[in-house]
Amino acid sequence: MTDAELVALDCTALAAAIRLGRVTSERVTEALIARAEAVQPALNAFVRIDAEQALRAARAADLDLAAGRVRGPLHGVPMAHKDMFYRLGVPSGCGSRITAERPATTTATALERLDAAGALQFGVLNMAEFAFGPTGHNWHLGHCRNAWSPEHVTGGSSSGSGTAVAARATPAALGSDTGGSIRMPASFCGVAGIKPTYGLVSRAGAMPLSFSMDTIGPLARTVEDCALLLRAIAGADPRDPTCDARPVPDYVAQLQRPVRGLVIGRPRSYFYDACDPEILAAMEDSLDRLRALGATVVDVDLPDVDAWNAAGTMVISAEAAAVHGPWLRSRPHDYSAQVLARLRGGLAVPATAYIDSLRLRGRAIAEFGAAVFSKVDVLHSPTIELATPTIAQTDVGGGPGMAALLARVTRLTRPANFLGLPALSVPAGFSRAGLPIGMQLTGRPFDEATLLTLGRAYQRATGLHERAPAL
Amino acid sequence: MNPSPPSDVSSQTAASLMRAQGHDAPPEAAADVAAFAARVLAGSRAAFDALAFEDEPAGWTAAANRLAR
Repeated sequence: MTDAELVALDCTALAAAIRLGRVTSERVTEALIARAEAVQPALNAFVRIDAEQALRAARAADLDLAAGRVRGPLHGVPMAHKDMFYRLGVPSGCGSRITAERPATTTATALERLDAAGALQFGVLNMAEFAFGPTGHNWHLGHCRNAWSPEHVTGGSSSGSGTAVAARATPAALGSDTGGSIRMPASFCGVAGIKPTYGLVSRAGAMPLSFSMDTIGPLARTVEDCALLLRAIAGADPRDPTCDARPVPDYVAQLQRPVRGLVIGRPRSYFYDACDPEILAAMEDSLDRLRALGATVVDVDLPDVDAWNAAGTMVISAEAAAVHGPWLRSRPHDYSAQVLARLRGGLAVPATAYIDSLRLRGRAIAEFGAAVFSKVDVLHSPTIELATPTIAQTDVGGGPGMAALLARVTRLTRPANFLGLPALSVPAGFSRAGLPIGMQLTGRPFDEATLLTLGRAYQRATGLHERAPAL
Repeated sequence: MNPSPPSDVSSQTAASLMRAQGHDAPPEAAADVAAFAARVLAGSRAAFDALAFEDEPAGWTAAANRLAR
């Protein structure tokens, strides 16, 4: 196989090819490193590529396989991850100037589980500073650029994860999602990404932003790969007391479940209140596709989501300000002005409002469940309501409309974080400008399997995930 | 999207809170923090008024488990 053919394979196909001896892990790793180095000048997706170390690990994986030792379902598959998942002894920059030289004292559970599944890591990916930005701007490391159009934003905060997967520079990547940070880059970069239910995936050894909202999940070109990686990283972890103890389903096996009979909700309010016409048209097309697959689509009314967003913003801001307190006091000049301003916001959130915000979550999910999940299995919406902005439009000098623009970018992803619900973003078309449009499927708590089943069926029906940017 | 309500958190209050927590509080930063606090507090007030006396911060877990299949 040529390099181009190898980097075009998804994790599932790469794992099968390696396991069956059609290609070595070393050969795949070489091809992906070459691709990553080739696209890096245009995209600034990678913070570091660990070529020698990755090739050593790949050769060891090949030797294991030759000796009949298969480590797991991702044996020998190389990938790169957002630079906020700690590996013992290695600095994780977290997109910042502050932690870049600080060796980690632990390894993230998510990485340990991918290691145990046989995956290799060949690099770390750019991200918004401390995962506190929705566009992919990074004033310390340089802005990350969209593989479909380098003048446009990638979305953030898992910016490198989104654009590197789209560029075929890694078959999959871990991201984190506190307000949409997996789903926004997935949508803008035309890949799949799943934010799991709060508590499904351990956050141990991952950079914290907001303890009550942080989730970890995969971005990949196919929903099937998202299922494969989620299966590997999910499940109880004594190192993360918020982790749920229930058994993890075999998401890959459940992908075969029928779509016929599923009921999909189309929200009457909020998600379409300010939607760009071409996004709206793509959503109508996607609903037609889902109907054709056998699903039923019904309209649903939603409770007042805006109030929950305000409460969620207070939780994130207060928790982030607390986590960053010592550095905000001692090293304020080492933050970019934008992130410093966002972090300072939490300093004036009253304790009573923070507690009331947390008290509201139980009531909110109960109200949302009664309004939505008493009628439908899945809520369908755009992931983002507007066309992909340019980097310049959303930069420091973006003008007076910039704050409103940024609020619109995150508006449709934030509710799932406050509600703690799983949400999958899947490519659902392209704009007239040739940029990807994403649809968001939101499910019941711990029902990732239904989202993945539906998303995978949609991908197979549309083939949208097979389109590649011209890089 | 709800428009931002008029600020009812003063910059002086925000600056005092920032300084009391050991942070710098330049006037522009204090004004931004005050505006942020005013906006989110106003945006959530009605929802907080609807909370029951017994609602607790850990209520999400129980509610999510009831909703899970």
